[in-house]
Amino acid sequence: MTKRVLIVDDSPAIRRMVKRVIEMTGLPFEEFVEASDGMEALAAWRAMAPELILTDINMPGMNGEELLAELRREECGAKVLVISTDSTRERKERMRELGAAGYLPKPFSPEKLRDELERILEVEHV
Amino acid sequence: MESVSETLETMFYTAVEEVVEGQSTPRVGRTEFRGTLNGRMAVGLDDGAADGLTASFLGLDLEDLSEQDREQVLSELANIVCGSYLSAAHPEGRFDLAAPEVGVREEEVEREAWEERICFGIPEGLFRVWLAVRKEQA
Repeated sequence: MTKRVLIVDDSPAIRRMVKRVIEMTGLPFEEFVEASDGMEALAAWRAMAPELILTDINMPGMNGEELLAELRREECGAKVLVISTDSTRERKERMRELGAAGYLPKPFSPEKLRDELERILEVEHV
Repeated sequence: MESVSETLETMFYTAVEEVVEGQSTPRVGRTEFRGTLNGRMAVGLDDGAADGLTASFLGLDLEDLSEQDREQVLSELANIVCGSYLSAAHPEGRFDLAAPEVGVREEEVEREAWEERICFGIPEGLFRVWLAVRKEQA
């Protein structure tokens, strides 16, 4: 089965950078889907059911917090990693309450992203 | 400013070398923030820094960069530096950042009122930050 990842950010630069880092990690994702806001992400999730979703919070239209609330309402089984410049305690706690498996504050190194992905995907090292 | 160093080192693979004065950084991105603190931040790059940072961030060769690439990365750079600054200044706070505006004229930014103006030398060129913070909300 094709493993898919959905990258949600209104910044095309971040979407490109995150995709490149995931490709470099060697994690077994074969298809990358991108969305620039929560509404696009919701439509993509309904159409393609990705195993992993990486999302920003601060986006025009439907933001990341609203997206997670919708995904939870629809009983989305995907693992969600939030990537945001907002690393305030209140925001982190709120996103975890909404079901985020991880929270990665920007700026982050490629190694930190890889480690966080391996943690939430429960990748075992041989 | 620690948020600048951290952003450049972790996401752009470069570092601040020194603080410099009287230099031009014609590529400017500007954002506003509201919440526990209200204010504005702008970041400026000269052409060398714009090329180097864009190439590092996107993993591209210099000859493959487009103007759109440079603008997208400048916008994200303003977003990250500003968000990092705010989260470090007020970890218990709450902020909303506006989407950064790029293509802002440097002369226009220079005429605005700022509390901080600082220009850094990095190996690729020049990196400047302007910061204005208004009084905290009650």
